Amino acid sequence: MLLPKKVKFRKMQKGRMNGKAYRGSSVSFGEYALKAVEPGWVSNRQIEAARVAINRHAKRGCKVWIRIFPDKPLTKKPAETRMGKGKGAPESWVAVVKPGRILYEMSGVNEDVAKEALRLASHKLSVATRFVKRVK
Amino acid sequence: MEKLLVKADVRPEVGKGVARSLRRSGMLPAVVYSGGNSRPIKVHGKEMSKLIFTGTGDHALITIELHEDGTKKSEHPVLVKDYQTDPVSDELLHVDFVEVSLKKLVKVTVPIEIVKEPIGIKMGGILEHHLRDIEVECLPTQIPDKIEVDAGHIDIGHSLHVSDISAPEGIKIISDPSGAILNVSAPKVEEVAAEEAEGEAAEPELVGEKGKEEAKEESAQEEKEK
Repeated sequence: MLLPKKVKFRKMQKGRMNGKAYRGSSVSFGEYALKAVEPGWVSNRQIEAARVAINRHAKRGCKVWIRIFPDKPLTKKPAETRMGKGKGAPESWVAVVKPGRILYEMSGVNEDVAKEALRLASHKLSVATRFVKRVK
Repeated sequence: MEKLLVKADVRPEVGKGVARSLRRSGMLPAVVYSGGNSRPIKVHGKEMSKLIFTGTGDHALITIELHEDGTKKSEHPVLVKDYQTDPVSDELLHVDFVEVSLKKLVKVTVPIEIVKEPIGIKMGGILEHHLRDIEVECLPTQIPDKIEVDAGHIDIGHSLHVSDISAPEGIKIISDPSGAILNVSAPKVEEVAAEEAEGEAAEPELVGEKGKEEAKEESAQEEKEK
């Protein structure tokens, strides 16, 4: 599963997800892609599940690019703990996704296969997505 | 290449409010650079999108028929310098045109079209595209729609380079000749079990943590010595 090798701080503040993704919003490597149309956090487990779904459907001969990386730690307090006593322990890693961000790209397969593979992948993610093609 | 004609009107008003109302009415704000000056214009949105996204408008010579005050009409040979799209809807937001002289050489980026499927793909290889367009220098009237490349002989583990392209007459390729256009790589077997075994337990190392630990050890040693 994806997670950073080295971090400067173990915990991070929540942050806000205003605006659109102006960077990473065009198909750069493959032929077909999955684009986020709403903001959200995508966890490393979701990213991995979607990648497996794409590879299982497309089988051989396809190349997949993951265009997001989960570099934001999420913390969680243990169950049945009273409020206070500091921030919880790091629990998982997420990627901050803004509308317009390309999540996955693929090439080496025809459009129908890519569409179905990315549709299956989109069901593993917590953000609404759209299938897009390279503009020439 | 057929002549592309785009009708445009001079746009006296500028600013985001005007640009947004223009887009709502189906027009597209644009600008023409010529001789160090820029001139705001407006063009038909759908026509321009069709030209850029499905046609050759992003690199071909376009003639702009510019209407001023509803009476004056002038024609300008232009190239699309840049365009902006909305990251979510992928709609065209703005186009920058640059006026060119028909007698001077221009540098343009032309798409590469692979005409034959590499033989390596039939043998199970994976096609990897590295360069999808190439920079050429030619007269504006000689800009090709695309440059066709025969990749039929590319086997697994081999690649096609810019130097393998034979440029049509009057066109000079100025991209790096050693640049790889495509290669066919051997299919990879996915490692499933090993990755899953790693699990979630792994936590990343903290930057500077090593230094802190060393400092702590040093201070502990100093205390002992005392």
